[in-house]
Amino acid sequence: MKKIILATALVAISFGATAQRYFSKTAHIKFFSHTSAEDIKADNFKSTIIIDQATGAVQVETLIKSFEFEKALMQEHFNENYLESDKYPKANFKGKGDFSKVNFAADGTYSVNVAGQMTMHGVTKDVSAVATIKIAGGKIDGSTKFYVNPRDFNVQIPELVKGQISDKIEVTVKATLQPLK
Amino acid sequence: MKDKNSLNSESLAEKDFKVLNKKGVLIVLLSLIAIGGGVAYYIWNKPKTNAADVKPNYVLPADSLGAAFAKNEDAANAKFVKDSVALEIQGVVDTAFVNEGNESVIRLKTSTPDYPVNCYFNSADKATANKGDLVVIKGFCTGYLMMDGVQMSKCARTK
Repeated sequence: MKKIILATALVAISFGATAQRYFSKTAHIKFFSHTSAEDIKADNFKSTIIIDQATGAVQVETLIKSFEFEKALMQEHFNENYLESDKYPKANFKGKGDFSKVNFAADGTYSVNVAGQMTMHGVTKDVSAVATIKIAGGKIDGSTKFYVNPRDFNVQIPELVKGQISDKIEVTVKATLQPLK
Repeated sequence: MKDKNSLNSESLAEKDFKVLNKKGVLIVLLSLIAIGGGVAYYIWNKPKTNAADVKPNYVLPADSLGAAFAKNEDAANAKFVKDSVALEIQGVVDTAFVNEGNESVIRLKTSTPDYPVNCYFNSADKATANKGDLVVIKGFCTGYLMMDGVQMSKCARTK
């Protein structure tokens, strides 16, 4: 009986030792707006993500001026008129996910519910999404997709271009995570 | 008293003037539309700004930029990020790599822990550098990102 307790304790300790934090400093965040008039997309490959397996904490941070559009004019409008990046240079997400079932040490694919608060343009809103964690050959890839309405974040879109910007903007996040030593 | 012929020739001249006037207005209108279209096309397709083409608003060592963000991020944002001012930074290369977005990145060391300066080049510009190189880079600061440091975009290496 003592041996069983000892073995259980050892397994618990070793699991505790492997449960750690994972991060990426080159996470890819993509905005995509589709309307019948126009498709608009922006990419940012310079976002930071950190997840703590033990507490389930998830934190994402990105700089608004790091989003790149196909057209310089779109980028200018995005920064100056819509997201006002001089006033609100960052967007972030702080939340929690249930990573307890994810075995980062072995190959596998997991769906994790993540929920928390996203702050953008000085407005904080609740956001939830299902994230996919895929582990293959020691490589840990995380991804998720969710939708935001610019009006929820107090982004004013002029009447003239209202038909060109969707009120359901697709946000995709992809990152290759590394253990934080 | 004017005779019938002279009256006719006058009304013909008036007609000609009206036709010419209409033609003139049409030419002016078409010219304005063409110019307007040209301007709109240029604005829509205007090239992205590259730091290589602009005179820097601030010239400073990477160390000073990292220290400014470490001391007061809001104040550093107001000075170095607002209004997309151009910066020229001198520093020592810590590492150089290409990120997932196919952008070349040169990371400059600073004496402030967690505040290196990351210089991102456009995907078309392949920037190479070796650890320890002393370099001078122009770019636009986009702010400070947790765990990663101060970010500079659309960079161009001048030395």
